[in-house]
Amino acid sequence: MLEVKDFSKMYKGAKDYSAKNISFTVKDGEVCGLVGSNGAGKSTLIKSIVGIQPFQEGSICIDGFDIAKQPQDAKRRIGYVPDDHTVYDKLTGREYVDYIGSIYGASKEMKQDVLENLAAYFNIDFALDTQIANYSHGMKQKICLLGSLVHSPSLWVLDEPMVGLDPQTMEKLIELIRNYANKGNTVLFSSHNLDVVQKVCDTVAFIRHGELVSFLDLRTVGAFDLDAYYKKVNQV
Amino acid sequence: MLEFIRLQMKLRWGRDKGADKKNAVLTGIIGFIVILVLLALVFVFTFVLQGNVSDATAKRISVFYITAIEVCLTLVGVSMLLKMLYRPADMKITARFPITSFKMYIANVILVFLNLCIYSFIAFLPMMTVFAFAAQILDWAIFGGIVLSMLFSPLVPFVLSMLISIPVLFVMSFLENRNIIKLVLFIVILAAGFVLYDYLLNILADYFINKNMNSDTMDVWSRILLTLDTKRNLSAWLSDILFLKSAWIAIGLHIAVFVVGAAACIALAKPVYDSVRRKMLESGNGAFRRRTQCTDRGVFSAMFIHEFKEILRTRTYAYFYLGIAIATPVMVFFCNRLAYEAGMAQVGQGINFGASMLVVTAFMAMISSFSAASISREGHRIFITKMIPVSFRRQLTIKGLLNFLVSVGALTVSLIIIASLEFITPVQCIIIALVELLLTGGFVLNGLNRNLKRPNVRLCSNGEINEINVTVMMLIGIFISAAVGLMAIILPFFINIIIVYALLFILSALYAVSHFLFFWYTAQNRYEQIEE
Repeated sequence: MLEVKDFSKMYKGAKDYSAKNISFTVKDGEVCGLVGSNGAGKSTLIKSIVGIQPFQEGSICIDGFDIAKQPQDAKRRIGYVPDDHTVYDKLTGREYVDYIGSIYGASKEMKQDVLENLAAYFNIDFALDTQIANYSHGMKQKICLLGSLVHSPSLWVLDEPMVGLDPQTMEKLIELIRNYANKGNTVLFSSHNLDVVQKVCDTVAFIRHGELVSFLDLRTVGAFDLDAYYKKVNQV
Repeated sequence: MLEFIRLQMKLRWGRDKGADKKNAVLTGIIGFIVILVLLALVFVFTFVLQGNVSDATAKRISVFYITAIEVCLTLVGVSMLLKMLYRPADMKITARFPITSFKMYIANVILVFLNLCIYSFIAFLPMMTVFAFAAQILDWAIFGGIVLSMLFSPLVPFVLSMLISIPVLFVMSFLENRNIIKLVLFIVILAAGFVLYDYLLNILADYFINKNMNSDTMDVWSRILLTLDTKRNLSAWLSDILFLKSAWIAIGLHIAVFVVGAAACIALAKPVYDSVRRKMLESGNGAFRRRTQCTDRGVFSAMFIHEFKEILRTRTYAYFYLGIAIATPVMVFFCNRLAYEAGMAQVGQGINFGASMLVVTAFMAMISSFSAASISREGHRIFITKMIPVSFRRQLTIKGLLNFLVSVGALTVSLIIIASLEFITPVQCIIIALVELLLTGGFVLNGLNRNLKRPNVRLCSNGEINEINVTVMMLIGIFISAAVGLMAIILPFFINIIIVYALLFILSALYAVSHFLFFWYTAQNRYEQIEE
C-alpha cells in the first residue's frame, strides 16, 4: 500500500513548490494513474516516492514504512521504471538484471524466472547477452521493466512506461500491470495516454501546478469520459 | 561543408557556458607548468649534449628535437583522426546533415589539419626558441628560420597520421571489448615511457652529479644524432629550413610530400571511412555479446564486482586508474633507483628511507585520487544508487574500499620490489607500509568527502563528466607527499629516527582518522542532498 500524506517538495534555489500538499492512498491490488500536463509535478512526486530525492514536508509510506525514516525497508518494496530508462549500459541485459536482483536480495531462482519468462514475454530474450549500450530505446525500457520486477516488489512505480514501446508491447505491459495488481500488489504509473489510464487504472490522481486537483475512483464513476474530464481539470 | 567545419570548430573550441571555469583555469595552469618543465628540459639537454658529445652540432641537435615534435604531432594526428573521423560521438547527428559523406570526410580531415597546425605552432615556437637560446645561436636569421619551419612542420605529420590511422583503426576494432589485452598494452606502453623518462633523468642526474656524461651515454647519443641527421629523415629537411640552408629545396619537398601524400591517403582512406561510418551507424558503438550465468550474491560482493566491471569497461577509467595502479611498482622502482643513486652520491645512505617515503606517497596519492570521482562518475545514473535499498554510506564504503584495495595492491608490490632490492631495510619497509596504509586510507576518504561536497553528476555538452575533484586531490596528494617525504628526509639528521617514525605514523593516523570521522558522520546526509 502507498500512502502519501501532505507531501510538499521545493527544489534547491526554487522560489515555488514543485509539489504542494499532496495526499492520496493507493491500496493493495489497486492501479493508480498519475495524470497531468508536462511539468505538473508527476515526476517530482514519483522521484520522492521511490526515494531518489528528499522532500521537505509530509510523509510517504510504503506498506507502513516511511521512505524518509526507514528508507531501506521502504525501498526494498519498490520496483521503479524511470522515464528516461537509464541503465548501466556497460553491462549486458542479463548482467543488469542479475546485479539489480542481487542488490534487492532476489534469489537466483527469482532472477532466472524473470530472465526466462518475463524476458520472453517482452520479446527481449534474444538480446540478454548483448551489452545494453547497443539496445534501442524500447529495448532499454524493457530491460528496466525486467529489473524493476526481479525482486517481486509490492509497489511497482512506472514513470511514463509506454514511451518508446511498440503497440504490441504496450498491450502486453497493460496486461502485466493489471495482472500484477490482481496478485495483491500496488501499482502507480504516470502517463499522458488517457486511454491506457482509463483501461488499466482503478484510481486516477490529477496533478496540476504541483497540486493534486482531483483523485477519482474509476470503479465508482461508471461510464466516464476521462479525456473531457482531464481537459476540464486543466482549464480550471 | 564550410558551415559544417564552422559548427565543428564551435563545438570543439567554442566557449562552453556550462564548463567549470575553475577546471579550465586549473587545466591551464597545469598545462603551463608542463610546458615550462619541458622547455627547461630542452634547455638543459641542449646544454648537456653540446658540452659532452663531440659531434653534437646545433644542426644535429635541432634534427633530434624536430623529429621528436614531428613524432608527437603524428601521434596526436592519429588520435584525432580516430576520434573525429572514425569514432565521433556525434556521428548519428551529423549523418542527418545534408552533406555527402565525402564532404564530411574532407571537412573532418581539414579540422584535424587545423588542429595539428595549432599544436605544431604551440610546440614548435617555444621549443625551438629555447633550443636556439641554449645552443647560443639565437639571432634574427634563426628566428626567421624557426617561424618558416614552424609553418611547414604540420605537413608531414598530417600525411603520416592519415596513413597510420587506417591500420590503427583495424587494430582498435580488433581490440574492441578485449579490455584485459588493452589494459596490458597500456601498462606496457606506460612502463616503456617511464623507462625512457628514467633514462633521460638518469643522464641529467649523472651530469649534475659527476659534471660529465659517462662515455657509454655519449656514444649512444652520438649515434642517435648521427642516425637522425640523414636526408631520409624528413625532419632533417625541416632543420634545413630552420637554418635557412637549401631551404627552397626543403620547402618544395615538404609541399610535394604533402600534396601527393594527402591525395593518395584521401583516395586510400575514403572507402575505409565509408565502411566504418556505415558500420557505426548500423551497429552502434561496438557493443559486445557475453554469456553469463545468474549467481546468488550478497549486496556487498554484487556492488563490489559491479564497481570493478564499470571501471574495467570504461576506457578512460581502465587506462588511467587500473593501468597506472598496475604500472605503479615499475614507476616506483625507477623513481626510487634514481633517488637512491642521486641521494647516495650527494648525501649518503641516510636519505633512502625519506626518498622511498616521498616516492611511494606520491604514487599512492596519484592512484587514490580516483576516489574523488566515485560519485560523479555515476552521472545521470545517480538515481539508481538512490533508489536501491542500500544505505548511501554503505555504497560509498564499497567504492572507497575498492579504491583502497587497488592502492594497497600497488603499495604491496612496490614495497616488495624496493625492499628486496635493498633500497630500504625491512624495518623501514614496515614503517613505510604502515604509514602508507594510513595515508592511502586518508587519500581515499579525502577524495570521497571532496566529491560528496562537490559532485558533478551533470554531463557536459561533450557527453563527459567535468571532474575537477580528481585534479584537486592530486594536488593535495603532491603537497602531502612532499611534506611527508621532506620530513622523512630531513628530520633523521636532527632527531632520533624512532621519533621520526612515530611522528610520521601519528600525522598519517590523524589525517586518516579525521577524514574517516568526517565521512562517517556526514556522508549519508550529504549524499541525500545530491540532486541530478
